[in-house]
Amino acid sequence: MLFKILFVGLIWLLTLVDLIIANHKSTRLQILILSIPLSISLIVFFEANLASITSALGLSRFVDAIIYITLFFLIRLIININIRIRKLEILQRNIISELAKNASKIC
Amino acid sequence: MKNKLPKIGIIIPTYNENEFVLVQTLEGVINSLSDIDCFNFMIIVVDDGSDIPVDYSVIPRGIILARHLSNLGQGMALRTGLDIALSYPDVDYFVTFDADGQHSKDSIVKLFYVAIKSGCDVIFSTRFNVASLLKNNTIPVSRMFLLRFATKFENLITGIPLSDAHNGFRLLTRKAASLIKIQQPGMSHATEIRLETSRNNLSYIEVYAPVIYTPYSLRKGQSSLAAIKILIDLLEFYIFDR
Repeated sequence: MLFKILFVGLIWLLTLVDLIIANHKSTRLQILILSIPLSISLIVFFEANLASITSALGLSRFVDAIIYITLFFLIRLIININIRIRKLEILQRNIISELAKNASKIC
Repeated sequence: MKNKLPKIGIIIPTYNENEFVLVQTLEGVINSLSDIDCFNFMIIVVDDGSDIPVDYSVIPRGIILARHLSNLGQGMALRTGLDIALSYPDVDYFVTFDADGQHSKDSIVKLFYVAIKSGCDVIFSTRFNVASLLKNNTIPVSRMFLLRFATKFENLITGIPLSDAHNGFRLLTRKAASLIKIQQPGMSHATEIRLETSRNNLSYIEVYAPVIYTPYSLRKGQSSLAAIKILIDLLEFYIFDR
Protein backbone atom coordinates (compact mmCIF):
# COMPACT_ATOMS: atom_id res chain seq x y z
CA MET A 1 0.00 0.00 0.00
CA LEU A 2 2.83 2.38 0.93
CA PHE A 3 4.44 1.70 -2.42
CA LYS A 4 1.24 2.60 -4.25
CA ILE A 5 0.84 5.85 -2.32
CA LEU A 6 4.47 6.74 -2.99
CA PHE A 7 3.99 5.92 -6.67
CA VAL A 8 0.95 8.21 -7.04
CA GLY A 9 2.75 10.92 -5.03
CA LEU A 10 5.80 10.61 -7.26
CA ILE A 11 3.68 10.94 -10.39
CA TRP A 12 2.10 14.14 -9.06
CA LEU A 13 5.40 15.61 -7.96
CA LEU A 14 7.35 14.85 -11.12
CA THR A 15 4.48 15.90 -13.38
CA LEU A 16 4.35 19.19 -11.50
CA VAL A 17 8.10 19.72 -11.88
CA ASP A 18 7.84 18.71 -15.53
CA LEU A 19 5.02 21.16 -16.17
CA ILE A 20 6.75 23.99 -14.32
CA ILE A 21 9.80 23.45 -16.52
CA ALA A 22 7.62 23.25 -19.63
CA ASN A 23 5.77 26.37 -18.42
CA HIS A 24 2.30 24.86 -18.83
CA LYS A 25 0.96 27.20 -16.20
CA SER A 26 -2.72 26.88 -16.95
CA THR A 27 -2.78 23.09 -17.15
CA ARG A 28 -0.76 22.19 -14.09
CA LEU A 29 -3.70 21.64 -11.78
CA GLN A 30 -5.73 19.77 -14.37
CA ILE A 31 -2.84 17.40 -15.10
CA LEU A 32 -2.50 16.59 -11.44
CA ILE A 33 -6.19 15.90 -11.19
CA LEU A 34 -6.08 13.83 -14.37
CA SER A 35 -3.18 11.71 -13.23
CA ILE A 36 -5.06 10.51 -10.12
CA PRO A 37 -7.66 8.23 -11.75
CA LEU A 38 -5.24 7.23 -14.50
CA SER A 39 -2.49 6.12 -12.14
CA ILE A 40 -4.85 4.47 -9.66
CA SER A 41 -6.61 2.47 -12.35
CA LEU A 42 -3.31 1.37 -13.87
CA ILE A 43 -1.93 0.41 -10.46
CA VAL A 44 -5.03 -1.63 -9.67
CA PHE A 45 -4.78 -3.37 -13.03
CA PHE A 46 -1.07 -4.13 -12.74
CA GLU A 47 -1.23 -5.08 -9.06
CA ALA A 48 -3.74 -7.77 -9.95
CA ASN A 49 -1.67 -9.18 -12.78
CA LEU A 50 1.89 -8.36 -11.90
CA ALA A 51 2.37 -10.76 -9.02
CA SER A 52 1.19 -13.78 -10.99
CA ILE A 53 3.14 -12.81 -14.12
CA THR A 54 6.43 -12.12 -12.32
CA SER A 55 6.19 -15.21 -10.12
CA ALA A 56 5.31 -17.39 -13.09
CA LEU A 57 8.31 -16.04 -14.94
CA GLY A 58 10.46 -16.40 -11.87
CA LEU A 59 11.25 -12.70 -11.79
CA SER A 60 12.00 -10.66 -8.71
CA ARG A 61 10.41 -7.61 -7.05
CA PHE A 62 13.09 -5.59 -8.82
CA VAL A 63 11.37 -6.32 -12.15
CA ASP A 64 8.09 -5.14 -10.60
CA ALA A 65 9.75 -1.85 -9.75
CA ILE A 66 11.07 -1.45 -13.29
CA ILE A 67 7.60 -2.08 -14.68
CA TYR A 68 6.12 0.53 -12.31
CA ILE A 69 8.73 3.10 -13.33
CA THR A 70 8.10 2.38 -17.01
CA LEU A 71 4.41 2.78 -16.32
CA PHE A 72 5.03 6.12 -14.68
CA PHE A 73 6.92 7.46 -17.70
CA LEU A 74 4.21 6.09 -19.97
CA ILE A 75 1.51 8.02 -18.08
CA ARG A 76 3.55 11.24 -18.31
CA LEU A 77 4.16 10.61 -21.99
CA ILE A 78 0.46 10.06 -22.77
CA ILE A 79 -0.55 13.22 -20.92
CA ASN A 80 2.17 15.35 -22.50
CA ILE A 81 1.46 14.06 -26.01
CA ASN A 82 -2.24 14.82 -25.51
CA ILE A 83 -1.46 18.39 -24.39
CA ARG A 84 0.86 19.00 -27.34
CA ILE A 85 -1.60 17.56 -29.87
CA ARG A 86 -4.37 19.77 -28.50
CA LYS A 87 -2.12 22.82 -28.62
CA LEU A 88 -1.25 22.05 -32.25
CA GLU A 89 -4.95 21.62 -33.08
CA ILE A 90 -5.73 25.01 -31.55
CA LEU A 91 -2.86 26.58 -33.53
CA GLN A 92 -4.11 24.96 -36.73
CA ARG A 93 -7.66 26.20 -36.13
CA ASN A 94 -6.42 29.74 -35.46
CA ILE A 95 -4.33 29.76 -38.64
CA ILE A 96 -7.25 28.54 -40.78
CA SER A 97 -9.54 31.13 -39.18
CA GLU A 98 -6.99 33.92 -39.80
CA LEU A 99 -6.54 32.83 -43.42
CA ALA A 100 -10.32 32.84 -43.92
CA LYS A 101 -10.59 36.34 -42.41
CA ASN A 102 -7.84 37.73 -44.62
CA ALA A 103 -9.22 36.10 -47.76
CA SER A 104 -12.87 37.06 -47.13
CA LYS A 105 -14.48 38.80 -50.08
CA ILE A 106 -17.48 40.99 -50.61
CA CYS A 107 -19.63 39.25 -53.23
CA MET B 1 -31.64 58.04 -43.16
CA LYS B 2 -30.38 54.46 -43.28
CA ASN B 3 -27.46 55.21 -40.95
CA LYS B 4 -29.62 56.34 -38.06
CA LEU B 5 -30.02 52.94 -36.40
CA PRO B 6 -26.97 51.07 -35.10
CA LYS B 7 -25.55 48.61 -37.60
CA ILE B 8 -26.04 44.85 -37.20
CA GLY B 9 -23.61 42.21 -38.41
CA ILE B 10 -25.41 38.96 -39.20
CA ILE B 11 -23.09 35.94 -39.08
CA ILE B 12 -24.27 32.83 -40.91
CA PRO B 13 -22.03 29.76 -40.64
CA THR B 14 -22.59 27.13 -43.28
CA TYR B 15 -21.28 23.63 -43.90
CA ASN B 16 -22.35 21.43 -46.80
CA GLU B 17 -25.56 23.40 -46.97
CA ASN B 18 -27.89 22.90 -49.90
CA GLU B 19 -27.10 25.85 -52.20
CA PHE B 20 -30.76 26.54 -52.87
CA VAL B 21 -31.63 26.59 -49.15
CA LEU B 22 -28.66 28.84 -48.35
CA VAL B 23 -29.52 31.35 -51.06
CA GLN B 24 -33.18 31.25 -50.00
CA THR B 25 -32.18 31.98 -46.39
CA LEU B 26 -29.89 34.85 -47.42
CA GLU B 27 -32.47 36.39 -49.73
CA GLY B 28 -35.11 35.98 -47.03
CA VAL B 29 -32.97 37.90 -44.53
CA ILE B 30 -32.11 40.63 -47.04
CA ASN B 31 -35.72 41.05 -48.20
CA SER B 32 -37.26 41.13 -44.73
CA LEU B 33 -34.69 43.59 -43.35
CA SER B 34 -34.50 45.83 -46.41
CA ASP B 35 -38.22 46.50 -46.09
CA ILE B 36 -37.69 48.15 -42.72
CA ASP B 37 -36.83 51.83 -42.76
CA CYS B 38 -33.51 52.89 -41.25
CA PHE B 39 -32.39 49.30 -40.79
CA ASN B 40 -28.65 49.04 -41.30
CA PHE B 41 -27.06 45.61 -41.59
CA MET B 42 -24.32 43.53 -43.12
CA ILE B 43 -24.23 39.75 -43.67
CA ILE B 44 -21.17 37.56 -43.28
CA VAL B 45 -21.35 33.97 -44.53
CA VAL B 46 -18.63 31.64 -43.26
CA ASP B 47 -18.23 28.47 -45.31
CA ASP B 48 -16.76 26.01 -42.82
CA GLY B 49 -14.81 23.92 -45.33
CA SER B 50 -17.75 22.48 -47.25
CA ASP B 51 -16.94 19.53 -49.54
CA ILE B 52 -18.16 21.66 -52.44
CA PRO B 53 -17.19 25.24 -51.51
CA VAL B 54 -19.94 27.85 -51.60
CA ASP B 55 -19.82 29.53 -54.98
CA TYR B 56 -19.23 33.29 -54.86
CA SER B 57 -21.49 33.76 -57.88
CA VAL B 58 -24.62 32.36 -56.16
CA ILE B 59 -24.32 34.58 -53.06
CA PRO B 60 -26.39 37.78 -53.28
CA ARG B 61 -24.36 40.96 -53.84
CA GLY B 62 -22.95 42.83 -50.88
CA ILE B 63 -22.57 39.77 -48.65
CA ILE B 64 -19.12 38.98 -47.24
CA LEU B 65 -18.04 35.39 -47.81
CA ALA B 66 -15.19 33.76 -45.86
CA ARG B 67 -14.00 30.21 -46.36
CA HIS B 68 -12.26 27.83 -44.01
CA LEU B 69 -9.72 25.64 -45.79
CA SER B 70 -10.98 22.65 -43.83
CA ASN B 71 -13.96 21.88 -41.63
CA LEU B 72 -13.35 23.22 -38.11
CA GLY B 73 -16.84 23.17 -36.65
CA GLN B 74 -19.63 25.69 -36.18
CA GLY B 75 -17.95 27.30 -33.16
CA MET B 76 -14.88 28.29 -35.15
CA ALA B 77 -17.00 29.42 -38.10
CA LEU B 78 -18.85 31.76 -35.75
CA ARG B 79 -15.58 33.02 -34.32
CA THR B 80 -14.23 33.78 -37.80
CA GLY B 81 -17.48 35.57 -38.66
CA LEU B 82 -17.53 37.55 -35.42
CA ASP B 83 -13.88 38.58 -35.88
CA ILE B 84 -14.63 39.81 -39.41
CA ALA B 85 -17.67 41.73 -38.16
CA LEU B 86 -15.68 43.19 -35.25
CA SER B 87 -13.15 44.56 -37.73
CA TYR B 88 -15.90 46.92 -38.97
CA PRO B 89 -16.00 49.66 -36.31
CA ASP B 90 -19.49 50.79 -37.33
CA VAL B 91 -21.09 47.43 -36.42
CA ASP B 92 -22.63 47.61 -32.94
CA TYR B 93 -24.70 44.42 -32.77
CA PHE B 94 -23.83 40.91 -33.85
CA VAL B 95 -26.42 38.26 -34.68
CA THR B 96 -25.64 34.57 -35.17
CA PHE B 97 -28.10 32.89 -37.49
CA ASP B 98 -28.43 29.33 -38.85
CA ALA B 99 -28.09 28.80 -42.60
CA ASP B 100 -30.78 26.12 -42.88
CA GLY B 101 -33.59 28.64 -42.80
CA GLN B 102 -35.27 27.39 -39.63
CA HIS B 103 -35.13 30.75 -37.87
CA SER B 104 -37.67 33.42 -38.62
CA LYS B 105 -36.07 36.39 -40.35
CA ASP B 106 -38.43 38.76 -38.55
CA SER B 107 -36.96 37.61 -35.24
CA ILE B 108 -33.71 39.49 -36.05
CA VAL B 109 -35.63 42.74 -35.76
CA LYS B 110 -37.26 41.54 -32.56
CA LEU B 111 -33.93 40.67 -30.93
CA PHE B 112 -32.44 43.98 -32.09
CA TYR B 113 -35.23 46.06 -30.54
CA VAL B 114 -35.10 44.03 -27.32
CA ALA B 115 -31.33 44.69 -27.18
CA ILE B 116 -31.82 48.44 -27.62
CA LYS B 117 -34.71 48.64 -25.18
CA SER B 118 -33.27 46.38 -22.48
CA GLY B 119 -29.64 47.45 -22.83
CA CYS B 120 -28.58 43.84 -22.25
CA ASP B 121 -25.26 42.59 -23.60
CA VAL B 122 -26.48 39.20 -24.81
CA ILE B 123 -29.93 38.34 -26.14
CA PHE B 124 -30.53 34.60 -26.22
CA SER B 125 -33.47 33.26 -28.20
CA THR B 126 -35.69 30.40 -27.15
CA ARG B 127 -37.84 28.02 -29.15
CA PHE B 128 -40.11 27.44 -26.20
CA ASN B 129 -43.12 29.52 -25.47
CA VAL B 130 -46.04 27.98 -23.60
CA ALA B 131 -48.75 29.59 -25.72
CA SER B 132 -47.08 28.76 -29.01
CA LEU B 133 -46.34 25.19 -27.97
CA LEU B 134 -49.99 24.56 -27.21
CA LYS B 135 -51.16 26.26 -30.35
CA ASN B 136 -48.74 25.32 -33.06
CA ASN B 137 -45.93 23.04 -31.99
CA THR B 138 -43.56 22.16 -34.83
CA ILE B 139 -40.89 20.66 -32.56
CA PRO B 140 -40.88 16.83 -32.65
CA VAL B 141 -41.54 15.16 -29.26
CA SER B 142 -38.19 13.28 -29.13
CA ARG B 143 -36.29 16.50 -29.78
CA MET B 144 -38.39 18.31 -27.20
CA PHE B 145 -37.43 15.78 -24.46
CA LEU B 146 -33.74 15.94 -25.37
CA LEU B 147 -33.77 19.73 -25.39
CA ARG B 148 -35.54 19.84 -22.04
CA PHE B 149 -32.98 17.54 -20.43
CA ALA B 150 -30.02 19.40 -21.98
CA THR B 151 -31.50 22.70 -20.81
CA LYS B 152 -31.78 21.56 -17.18
CA PHE B 153 -28.22 20.25 -17.26
CA GLU B 154 -26.78 23.41 -18.83
CA ASN B 155 -28.66 25.67 -16.45
CA LEU B 156 -26.96 23.79 -13.66
CA ILE B 157 -23.40 24.04 -15.00
CA THR B 158 -23.54 27.54 -16.51
CA GLY B 159 -25.53 29.25 -13.77
CA ILE B 160 -27.58 31.02 -16.46
CA PRO B 161 -31.17 29.84 -16.35
CA LEU B 162 -32.47 29.68 -19.91
CA SER B 163 -35.29 27.65 -21.38
CA ASP B 164 -33.41 26.60 -24.52
CA ALA B 165 -30.02 24.86 -24.36
CA HIS B 166 -28.67 25.01 -27.89
CA ASN B 167 -30.22 27.69 -30.00
CA GLY B 168 -27.97 29.06 -32.73
CA PHE B 169 -29.87 32.33 -32.93
CA ARG B 170 -28.60 35.03 -30.56
CA LEU B 171 -27.54 38.66 -30.49
CA LEU B 172 -24.40 40.09 -28.92
CA THR B 173 -23.43 43.70 -28.38
CA ARG B 174 -19.94 44.82 -29.41
CA LYS B 175 -18.87 44.61 -25.78
CA ALA B 176 -20.09 40.99 -25.51
CA ALA B 177 -18.67 39.97 -28.90
CA SER B 178 -15.27 41.39 -27.92
CA LEU B 179 -15.23 39.67 -24.54
CA ILE B 180 -16.56 36.26 -25.62
CA LYS B 181 -13.80 34.58 -27.59
CA ILE B 182 -15.22 31.26 -28.77
CA GLN B 183 -12.67 28.48 -28.34
CA GLN B 184 -14.92 25.47 -28.66
CA PRO B 185 -14.77 24.46 -32.32
CA GLY B 186 -17.83 22.24 -32.35
CA MET B 187 -21.43 22.56 -31.21
CA SER B 188 -20.45 23.00 -27.57
CA HIS B 189 -19.72 26.66 -28.37
CA ALA B 190 -23.33 27.38 -27.35
CA THR B 191 -22.58 26.27 -23.79
CA GLU B 192 -19.28 28.14 -23.89
CA ILE B 193 -21.05 31.38 -24.84
CA ARG B 194 -23.30 30.96 -21.79
CA LEU B 195 -20.36 30.21 -19.53
CA GLU B 196 -18.47 33.24 -20.85
CA THR B 197 -21.55 35.44 -20.42
CA SER B 198 -21.64 34.41 -16.79
CA ARG B 199 -17.85 34.68 -16.29
CA ASN B 200 -17.70 38.19 -17.78
CA ASN B 201 -20.74 39.35 -15.79
CA LEU B 202 -22.57 40.30 -18.98
CA SER B 203 -26.24 41.13 -18.72
CA TYR B 204 -28.57 38.87 -20.69
CA ILE B 205 -32.19 38.26 -21.51
CA GLU B 206 -34.08 35.47 -23.25
CA VAL B 207 -36.56 36.22 -25.99
CA TYR B 208 -38.98 33.89 -27.73
CA ALA B 209 -38.16 33.37 -31.40
CA PRO B 210 -40.10 30.69 -33.26
CA VAL B 211 -38.30 27.95 -35.16
CA ILE B 212 -39.81 26.22 -38.14
CA TYR B 213 -38.58 22.66 -38.47
CA THR B 214 -38.60 21.32 -41.98
CA PRO B 215 -37.55 17.79 -43.01
CA TYR B 216 -34.38 19.42 -44.36
CA SER B 217 -33.48 21.30 -41.18
CA LEU B 218 -34.15 18.20 -39.06
CA ARG B 219 -31.91 16.13 -41.28
CA LYS B 220 -29.19 18.78 -41.14
CA GLY B 221 -29.58 19.45 -37.41
CA GLN B 222 -27.82 17.77 -34.52
CA SER B 223 -28.64 14.16 -33.76
CA SER B 224 -29.56 13.08 -30.25
CA LEU B 225 -26.11 11.50 -29.87
CA ALA B 226 -24.55 14.93 -30.42
CA ALA B 227 -25.50 15.75 -26.82
CA ILE B 228 -22.96 13.18 -25.58
CA LYS B 229 -20.28 14.56 -27.90
CA ILE B 230 -20.95 18.08 -26.61
CA LEU B 231 -20.54 16.84 -23.04
CA ILE B 232 -17.22 15.12 -23.83
CA ASP B 233 -15.95 18.19 -25.74
CA LEU B 234 -16.73 20.45 -22.80
CA LEU B 235 -15.09 18.10 -20.33
CA GLU B 236 -11.93 17.83 -22.42
CA PHE B 237 -11.86 21.57 -22.97
CA TYR B 238 -12.01 22.40 -19.28
CA ILE B 239 -9.43 19.73 -18.40
CA PHE B 240 -6.86 20.37 -21.10
CA ASP B 241 -7.31 23.77 -22.68
CA ARG B 242 -8.23 26.11 -19.84
